[in-house]
Amino acid sequence: MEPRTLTLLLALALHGAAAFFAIRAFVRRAEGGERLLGLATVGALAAHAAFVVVSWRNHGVPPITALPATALVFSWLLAAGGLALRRMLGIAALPAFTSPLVLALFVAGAFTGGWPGGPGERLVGVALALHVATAVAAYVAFAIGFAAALMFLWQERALRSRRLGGSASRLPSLETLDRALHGTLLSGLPLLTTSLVLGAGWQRSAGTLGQEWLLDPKVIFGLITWAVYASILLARQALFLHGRRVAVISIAAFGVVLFTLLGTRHLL
Amino acid sequence: MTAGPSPRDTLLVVGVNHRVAPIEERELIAFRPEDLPGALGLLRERYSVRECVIVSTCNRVELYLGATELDDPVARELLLAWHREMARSLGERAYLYRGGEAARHLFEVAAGLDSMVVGETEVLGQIKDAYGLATAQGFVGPLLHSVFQRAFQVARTVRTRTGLSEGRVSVPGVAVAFARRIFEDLREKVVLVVGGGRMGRLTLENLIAEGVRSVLVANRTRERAEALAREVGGTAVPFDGMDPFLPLADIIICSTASPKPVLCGDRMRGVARQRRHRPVLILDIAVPRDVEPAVGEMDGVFLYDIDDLEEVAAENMEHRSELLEAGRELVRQELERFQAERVARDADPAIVALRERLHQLRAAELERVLRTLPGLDPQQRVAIEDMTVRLVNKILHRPMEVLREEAASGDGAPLAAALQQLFAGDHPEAPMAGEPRPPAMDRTPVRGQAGEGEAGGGD
Repeated sequence: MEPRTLTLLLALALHGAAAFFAIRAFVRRAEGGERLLGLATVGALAAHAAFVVVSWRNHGVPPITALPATALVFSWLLAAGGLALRRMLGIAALPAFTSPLVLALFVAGAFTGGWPGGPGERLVGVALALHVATAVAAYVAFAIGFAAALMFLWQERALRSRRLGGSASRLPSLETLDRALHGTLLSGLPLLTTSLVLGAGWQRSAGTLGQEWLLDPKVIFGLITWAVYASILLARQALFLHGRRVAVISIAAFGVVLFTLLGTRHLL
Repeated sequence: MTAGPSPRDTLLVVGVNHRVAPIEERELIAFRPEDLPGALGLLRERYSVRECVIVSTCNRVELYLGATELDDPVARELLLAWHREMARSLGERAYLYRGGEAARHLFEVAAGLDSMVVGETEVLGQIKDAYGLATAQGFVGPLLHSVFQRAFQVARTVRTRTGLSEGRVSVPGVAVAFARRIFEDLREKVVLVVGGGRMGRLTLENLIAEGVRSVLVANRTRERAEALAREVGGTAVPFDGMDPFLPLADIIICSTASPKPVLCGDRMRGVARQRRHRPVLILDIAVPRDVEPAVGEMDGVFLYDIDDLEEVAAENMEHRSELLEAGRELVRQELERFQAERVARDADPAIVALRERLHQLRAAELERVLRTLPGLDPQQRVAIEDMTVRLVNKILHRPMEVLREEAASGDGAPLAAALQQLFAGDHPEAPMAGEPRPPAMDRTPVRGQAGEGEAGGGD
């Protein structure tokens, strides 16, 4: 079996196992579930990283020059972030909401054939690396915000239904979730802003900044994503949006992120 | 003030609880403490009720009556007599127990077995308060006195022998659990207590135990607000001027005796805006409710009334059904013991009097016969006397047996009276039918649950 196939299958299996253990731990508290989740996630991260390196070597370019392939980096960072931030944010159930997304993004990145090839698309330079890095970091922040928003709605629904037991009992308080969601918006938006500025700068230095660049669906949806999140943050600060509505709109906004990442290439 | 018990006085309970009526209906017929003297007076004046205790708690509104026989419709009308606007349908849904079934119901209520939160202890205090108030007003006579005193004992027995209290999840506990699901850190939260209800106070104590440090207290009676504020290290705020303090409160505990809502939708919309839509938890543990239900539909407002809290507490109780069954079995045993004591108390005077009367007759006749037979030696005299004693005992054996059986099944009174009338005559030591006796515990349940028709006390 080729190393690429081997690492792909291994990463798929381990991401699947991590998603299973995370959801099982959330749905019903299981003995040893935390340990199994940790092991599966670490294993998935290792296999995932190996798959990216092998693919990079095979294609000759890093997975940052085309959006679908960038999903591999995005999903790896999200898996790592989900594991690390669950303690930092005090949200033990975070992997239950991020790991299925990680699995879906990994599958999309690995199978949609969006890996660039050929020297024409080989783009090197610090500006591009920074542009992609900040964009992915912003997307990871928005993904965690998406998970926090889902958990907020889940918890709120349980509270409105007068239920104390069940899965919602393993979610943090509404305040904690709201704070986490707000934090992801506050960190994600500046990162996305930076990414857009760096992207424009990089295009300008490459001499390709012009009407054609502005009509690029990636750019258009990047700007739409920025506008949507900026509006949410602004409306929240100005009290037009609060509580459940912020959560619902944040979930919808993440749909724009996913489309930007995976769907825009179909508009080309 | 209490009239002497009539031979036909019967223990009767008519009421509604959380099982037959939701809070929005129960609150319509709830009694405020200040209503109780007037309501008791009305029942006596209009319906000739001799004894009455009104128990009006979060879970129930019940009238315990010691009265002559009442028809079902009249008994149900009693429940609604104070609340004329009440829908008749609620009266029809009211349960009605008589005699032994009524006593069983009271025992289960006092022991917390009939509460939504099985094993809760607050109800015993509420029944004691209701009993104390009725006693002070002169509405408790021998019948209600004996059955309520026994109910308090039974409650203690059930609690200590079943461990119900240990297994329970209290209403304040549920309130705190909801608070923890909404707020990240209770130490930073401000609690506003509106009213001075017992459950509200307990909830506040639980929140303080969880770290709450800032407490505001509003009460119609300023002194009460200040007293509670002093006790918990909080601040008293004016009841009529609490609007500026509402936006500060993250948790509002309402437990007033107000017949109308204290917090309405318009008022709380303004509060939510001023709070910049930060979440607020409102615990409405008053009956009638203090907060309009529409308030709970507002974004960021989480409103729980007493039914919500008790339902959750009941659901979360461990081994609920086993403990409930054990508690009911204890109540059944205690009821049997109580009824047996009453049976003995009711039947013994008739039995003793009848036996004494016949033996007096025997002795008198024996003496008269022996006077006509002077030649008998002592041994012969003793033999004759023994024969008369055996004869009387044999004659008495079957009637006594039947009398005890009838008394045990609750139907002993007519037979005892008949026997007294037939045999005791106008004997000065024999109690006559119609004389005051221990009150009756009519066993006929009008509407009962399991165990309906069990032996009731008899007179």
